[in-house]
Amino acid sequence: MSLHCLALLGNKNEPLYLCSPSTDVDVEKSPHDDSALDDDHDVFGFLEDMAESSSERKTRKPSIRLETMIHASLDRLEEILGAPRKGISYGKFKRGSHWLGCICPIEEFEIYGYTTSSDVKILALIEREGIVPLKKRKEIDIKILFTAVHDCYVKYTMNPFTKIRGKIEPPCSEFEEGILAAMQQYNDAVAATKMVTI
Amino acid sequence: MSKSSASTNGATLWAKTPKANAELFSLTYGSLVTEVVRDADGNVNEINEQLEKIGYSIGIRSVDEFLAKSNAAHCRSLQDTAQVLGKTAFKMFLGIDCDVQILSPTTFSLIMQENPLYLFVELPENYKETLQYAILYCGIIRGALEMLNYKVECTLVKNILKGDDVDEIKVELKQILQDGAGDDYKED
Repeated sequence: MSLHCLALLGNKNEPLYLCSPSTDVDVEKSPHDDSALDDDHDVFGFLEDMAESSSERKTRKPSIRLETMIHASLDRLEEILGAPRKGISYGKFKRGSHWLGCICPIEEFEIYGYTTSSDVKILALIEREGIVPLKKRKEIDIKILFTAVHDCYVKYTMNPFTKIRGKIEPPCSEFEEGILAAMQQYNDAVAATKMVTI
Repeated sequence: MSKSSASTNGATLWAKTPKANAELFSLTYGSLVTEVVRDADGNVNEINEQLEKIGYSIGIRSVDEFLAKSNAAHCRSLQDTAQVLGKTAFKMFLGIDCDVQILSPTTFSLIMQENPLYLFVELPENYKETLQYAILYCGIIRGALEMLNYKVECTLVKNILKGDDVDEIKVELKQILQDGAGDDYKED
């Protein structure tokens, strides 16, 4: 149930920010030999700018494999939320809460989604334990993670020098610190529950 | 005027003044700065100058309000002025506690541990070393003291946004102006 990747998407589902926790959580190899995919070969060109300043980044770039999985789940996300429209859509006000739940299962992960009232989406790539989907108790931790990430994003937009609805790029050290803290808190909570069940 | 009475005066005045939301204040100043940055097109000196001018207009007006609201005693020397400025005025308008350091008979420093303008602000790389975000305060001090016939020069010595741990504004007295109402009113 560990967190492998976190993605922030804008209102047209474009990527704003992608990161992985800094511990070597995603070094576990899947059954296939995808060492060719795991290198930092940036297919979509999204992380090019970030690569230059990667020494200043506090969070890690996710491997290309994880990035592709997030990309693949966008279809399902669009099904749930409706295609991104140009004008104001009232569908979002009927939705009720920000939490979207499990969007789709991919290989050994599951992707959970969260949307905000301004159509900014947060996706979390979480490793699945066993075949049984997560019960309500374990989803609470993910909800807490999403709320914390949402908070970080709001504080980031309050900085007058940032581009609204644009890619999140440095100066963003406060934002990255907040994200790291939220991911750490989630991983600690998950590790704690793991101890209890074993 | 003793130090403690300046600060107690400041604290009582702060309690009486109507308050504004800190986020609103910081966001308003932030958008003002980004507009100035956009207009200046990369020339940082011009940005700093514009912000200082804005501060100057604020200063020349707020000094009257300050003197009316506070019953600060007559200042006998620059040291007294420094105390009143740092302890009473800054406290009354911004709620900040400033430390005052007298460097010489004509120079003093105001040291601020925290700055309400900086809430949520992070400077981008190209402006980090050069943009003086709090130069507004320098303008305010210059304007206020000019209305009281002190011509001063204010500089931002230390800057939290640059990485220092405090904000420091150095105020240097250049000239005491003659008590005049300006050239328009001079009788021939």
